[in-house]
Amino acid sequence: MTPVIKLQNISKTFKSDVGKSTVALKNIDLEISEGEFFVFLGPSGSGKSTLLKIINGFEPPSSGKMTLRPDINLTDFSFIFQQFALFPWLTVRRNIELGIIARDFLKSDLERIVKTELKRMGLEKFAEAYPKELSGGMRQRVGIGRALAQKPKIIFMDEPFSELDSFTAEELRQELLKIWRDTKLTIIMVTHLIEEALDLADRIAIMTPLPGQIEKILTNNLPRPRNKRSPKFYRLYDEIYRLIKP
Amino acid sequence: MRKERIYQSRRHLLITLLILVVPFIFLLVFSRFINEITLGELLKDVGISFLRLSIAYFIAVSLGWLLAVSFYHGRRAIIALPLFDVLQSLPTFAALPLATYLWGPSGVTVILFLVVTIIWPIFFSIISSLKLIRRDWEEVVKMTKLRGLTYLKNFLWPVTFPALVTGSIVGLGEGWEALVATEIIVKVKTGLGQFFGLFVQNTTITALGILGFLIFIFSINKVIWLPLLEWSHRKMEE
Repeated sequence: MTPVIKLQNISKTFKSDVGKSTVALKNIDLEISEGEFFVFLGPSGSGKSTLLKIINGFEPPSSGKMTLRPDINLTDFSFIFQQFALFPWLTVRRNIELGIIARDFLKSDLERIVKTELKRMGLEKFAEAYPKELSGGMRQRVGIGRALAQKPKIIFMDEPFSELDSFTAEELRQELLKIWRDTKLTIIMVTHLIEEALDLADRIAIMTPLPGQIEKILTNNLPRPRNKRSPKFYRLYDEIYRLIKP
Repeated sequence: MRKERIYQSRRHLLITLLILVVPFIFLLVFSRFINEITLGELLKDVGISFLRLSIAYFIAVSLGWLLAVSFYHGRRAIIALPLFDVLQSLPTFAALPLATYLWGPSGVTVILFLVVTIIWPIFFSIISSLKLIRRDWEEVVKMTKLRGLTYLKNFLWPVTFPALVTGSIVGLGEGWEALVATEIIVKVKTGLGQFFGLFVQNTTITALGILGFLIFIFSINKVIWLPLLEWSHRKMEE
């Protein structure tokens, strides 16, 4: 099957104001398939967020080539942010609406889509609330709702649960898996948590820093729902840990 | 889930509006004790000065906002911002006699100089707010492809509004000061500058005039600017 995204020899170098260069990513080659839950895993400074933003189109690469399958374009992408990135001056309803407000929808269609996402994310009662009135978990639900309202084919997630407490993060992870199963989306996520990567991913790109490189791409064949206490889970955990550990 | 309002209740609005009555009571009492000037003349002077300042403010705020959103980033910023910094440092009052010579002692000259005074605090305040925009908010704008009126209404205006209010408070503070000075130097026939110029040798009237002036500025701040400032900051709370 043709991959939805293909990266060839992608590198990224940042230049500081005084002319100093830092190589954030070096020679990344990768293919991601349709419907896959793909995770970039690595410590701070391994360039995983930069890579996510290059694939998503937020950042240009310094060199290399990215190819999208012909039926995919940048409007099929959506993004879920680490710190939610909600606009505090807009209500929950308007924040979700923001995802599609620039598209040529009839007002009734727009309202229907927003209503669907409010319901899916359990936010109906909070539609007129402002982000400051919500807990972290609820805010990320708005972020997810905003992304889903765009009806994307591929969703990018930059450490979407790292700002949440462990209970809320676990609850949202399970909801995300359900959404992924229902919608058959391709999800590309960044995390620094091995357990999270093992719980969610079909494949895990293990990244190492200085410069950011893919050390190994590991296929996660653990059956779903995944048992985090199984010996196989622990074995994979240890294998990844050994690869990441400096 | 209370709706964000500028005035929190009807009582708040009523009390705030009552504050606006204070300067008029002051003017009424003031004119009773001073024989040299009638209440009508006094109101006319205050009114004309206020009108000049208002016109200058609306020009300054529109121009300042447009310049700020046009020049805050990219190559344009590298060239334009140092230029604007030099421009705002120019001692414009030095050019006032020349401007009066060229355009005569008119209200237009006063308004022009007020615009030059008020625009810079507004411009730099908005520039600063735009430079501090959260990166992920900008990425949301990219992701949602906001542009045109939708971009203006849902992002650019809300994100710059608190800075616009702060810049307006500072700009108008400087504007009130420049207003009287400009009216005196230009020697226009009406306005507060003319009033203070007329009673230059009467310490009591001048002192009472300054007091009235302060009450008026305080009232405007209390009625308009402070509630707007609080409201805009509440809207930006995360």
